[in-house]
Amino acid sequence: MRREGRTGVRTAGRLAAAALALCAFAGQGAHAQQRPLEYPVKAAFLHKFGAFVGWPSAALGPASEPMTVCVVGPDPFGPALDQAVRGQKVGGRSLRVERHRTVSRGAGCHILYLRGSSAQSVADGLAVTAGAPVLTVTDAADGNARGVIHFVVVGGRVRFEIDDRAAARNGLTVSSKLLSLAVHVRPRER
Amino acid sequence: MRFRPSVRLGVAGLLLAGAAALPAAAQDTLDAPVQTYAALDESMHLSDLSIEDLANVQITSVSKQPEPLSAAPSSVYVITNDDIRRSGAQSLAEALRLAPNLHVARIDALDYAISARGLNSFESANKLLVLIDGRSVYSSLFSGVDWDQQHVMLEDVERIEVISGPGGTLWGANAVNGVINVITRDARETDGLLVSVSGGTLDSVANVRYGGAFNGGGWRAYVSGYQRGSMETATGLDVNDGWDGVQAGFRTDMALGPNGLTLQGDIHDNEIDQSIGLPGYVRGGNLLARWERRFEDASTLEVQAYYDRIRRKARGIYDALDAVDLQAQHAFRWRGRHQIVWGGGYRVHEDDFANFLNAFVINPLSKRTTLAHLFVQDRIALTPNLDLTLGVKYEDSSYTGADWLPNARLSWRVAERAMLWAAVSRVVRTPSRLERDLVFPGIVVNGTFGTEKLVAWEAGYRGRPLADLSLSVSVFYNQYEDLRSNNFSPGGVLPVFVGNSVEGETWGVEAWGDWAVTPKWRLGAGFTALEKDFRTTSALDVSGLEAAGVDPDWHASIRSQHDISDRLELDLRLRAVDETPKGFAGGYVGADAYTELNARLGWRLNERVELAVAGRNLLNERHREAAETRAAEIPRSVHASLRWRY
Repeated sequence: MRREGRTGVRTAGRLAAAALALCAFAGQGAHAQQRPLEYPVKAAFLHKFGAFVGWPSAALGPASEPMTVCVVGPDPFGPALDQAVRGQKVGGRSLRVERHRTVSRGAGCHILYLRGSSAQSVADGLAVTAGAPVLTVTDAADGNARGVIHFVVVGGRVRFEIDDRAAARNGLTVSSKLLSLAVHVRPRER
Repeated sequence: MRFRPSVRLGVAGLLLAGAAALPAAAQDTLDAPVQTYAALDESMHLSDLSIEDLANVQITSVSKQPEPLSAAPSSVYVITNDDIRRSGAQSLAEALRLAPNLHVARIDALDYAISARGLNSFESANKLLVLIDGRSVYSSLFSGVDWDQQHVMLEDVERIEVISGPGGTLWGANAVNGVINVITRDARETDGLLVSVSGGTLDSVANVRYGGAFNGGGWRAYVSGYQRGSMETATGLDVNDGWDGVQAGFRTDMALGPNGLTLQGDIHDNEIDQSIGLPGYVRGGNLLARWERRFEDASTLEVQAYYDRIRRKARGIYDALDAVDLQAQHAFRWRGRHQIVWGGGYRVHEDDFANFLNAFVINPLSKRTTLAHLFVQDRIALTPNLDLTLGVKYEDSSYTGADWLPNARLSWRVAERAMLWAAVSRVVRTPSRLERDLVFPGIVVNGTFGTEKLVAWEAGYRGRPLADLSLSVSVFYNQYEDLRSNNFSPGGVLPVFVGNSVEGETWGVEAWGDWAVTPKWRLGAGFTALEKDFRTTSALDVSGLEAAGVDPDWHASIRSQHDISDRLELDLRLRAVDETPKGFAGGYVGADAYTELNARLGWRLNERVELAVAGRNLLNERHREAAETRAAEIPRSVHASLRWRY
């Protein structure tokens, strides 16, 4: 979380690069968006979370099977999410993006970004997947209901909180590296 | 017209001398001379960033600009937290030397003259708006910034944005020549204990900060003590102007669903009694609350309120200033290509004044003044690569009534890695209490000074011509009107009044670049050149073009940041400043050109502890930076520092 020190020096250039790349990206249509980088950054996070979370092996299936990222509710990403996962691998698995109006327990989502809609609120989506091996991701922009990971915008950056207790309930392990990046962690019960 | 008696007495003397020799003086007056590095790479993809880097991508400036700074059509330089740490700076003003688009001249242990695009000097540096976490520290009492009372704990500064040129629509009042925007870190990013101590031959600072987290939020509190050493005379005698102070503060940030809430405040107490042998102090504090709400359609509403209080007794003058400020802004997208921000603000100042030294007073001694504004700005995507920003601000001050401040900006992405921009703006500076109400019985009358005006033309390039090289170049042409003057009454008789008779032009260039020579070695360079031509429109003006300031023709810097090993880092910064000329007014005696070197060697023992030794102004035993008669010389200094985190 602290960016003092040497990593800061090296990352500064790349961050500026990312910022400008995104502004160029924004120039191709999403120009006037309030925070042109917000959802592209969230899209990049969504699939990167996969590398820092452990699922029960039964939940992932054979190694040839892709990992599934689901967006439930109005899609805020557009093509950004599909572009973000293209060519990316998590533990040797490719990534697949699915978009659903609602989610059920057996939907086969490994990473689930829950936005909520009139068809199914975020809280309902969390309730039906509670205890299933699903990494639920919610967003402070959409309200207070919290999954395992909850996006917040802090100081102009996309950060997240982690509910490690909920992760344990879903049979997931969260790496200490990801926990250390969270702005707040609700620890698992001992 | 800042009321520091040492200066003020000089003005009084000048006025009297001027009265005695009016025709000659008036005649003489007529003849008196007067980013952030942007990296843009098509191969750059967010998915290629590490997860740590991703967590650090700035998705919006938390300042007023709802866009990445690198896309802002203005001359912006960003000083990062790491830049400050590696510079070894021990105060905010010293950290500002890192910005190539600022001219920083230290006058003595207490005062600095800092300006962008010229018109610098203690008396004339009144066209720069300085914000600390959204709170204006530009004084409505004397127009300008008292740099000695602006302490921030530099370890918790996120970044400092330095904009040269008019601040445009979205910033506060008096952003005429530039804006300095100091942004401290979100409290959720400063958890744990931090102890930092630096002590040396000139300045010393000690800080303790502790931060913690709660559900959805974070908090921190800090205490900072600092001591500023004495400057010297040209012959090396101690001028005994050192001083010290202590400041404490807190900040908390939290997310409540789609709402973001920030609360922060500071209190400080500085003893400045050594300055000229008279007892003195600066005490004050502030409290700020900011609430931001994001709506489902991605529009945002931000409301901010603060209270700021200063009590100052220095050099025989007591002044007190209380400010309450309320502002709100709403940003939304309209019909796809319009990004609209609109809002307004209202500020009330209440002041109090006493002079124990001489007959100068402000009349009335205590007064309430207000400053209100409304603004709207539309950023229009004309084509995918061409943006037009149109903005207008309506400002209303107690003294001068309504003013319109329009500006238009064009940014054109000419290539994947290059942006050209151009802008034209009209801005005004509103009178301060001293300028408006200064009275010396029988000699100076009050109540006449109006707004100063600027029409600024700017253009620039920002981009990355090579993969490891970023570059920014800006040119400007400024047309000033109605700048401050001191005029005799018609017929060349007393009393003198503060008038608006000075006008003139400045033009110049600002350029900087950053080159990553290797992953462990960065070089940076900056250069600023300025030309100016000022005159008075009144034969009765005896100000000697004081308002035009005294500026070096150019200043330049070269910086090297080198990671010698995983644990050792070496930073060098060489700066050169051309001669600061003598001015007719205020006894500006000028300052010789100088070249100085700052160096720092940092050693990280482990993840928690960092040691460093640093030297400031190493090339000369002492040197002079400011043109004021009273300016002292700055001695070479070294300091050692320890930073410990837990």
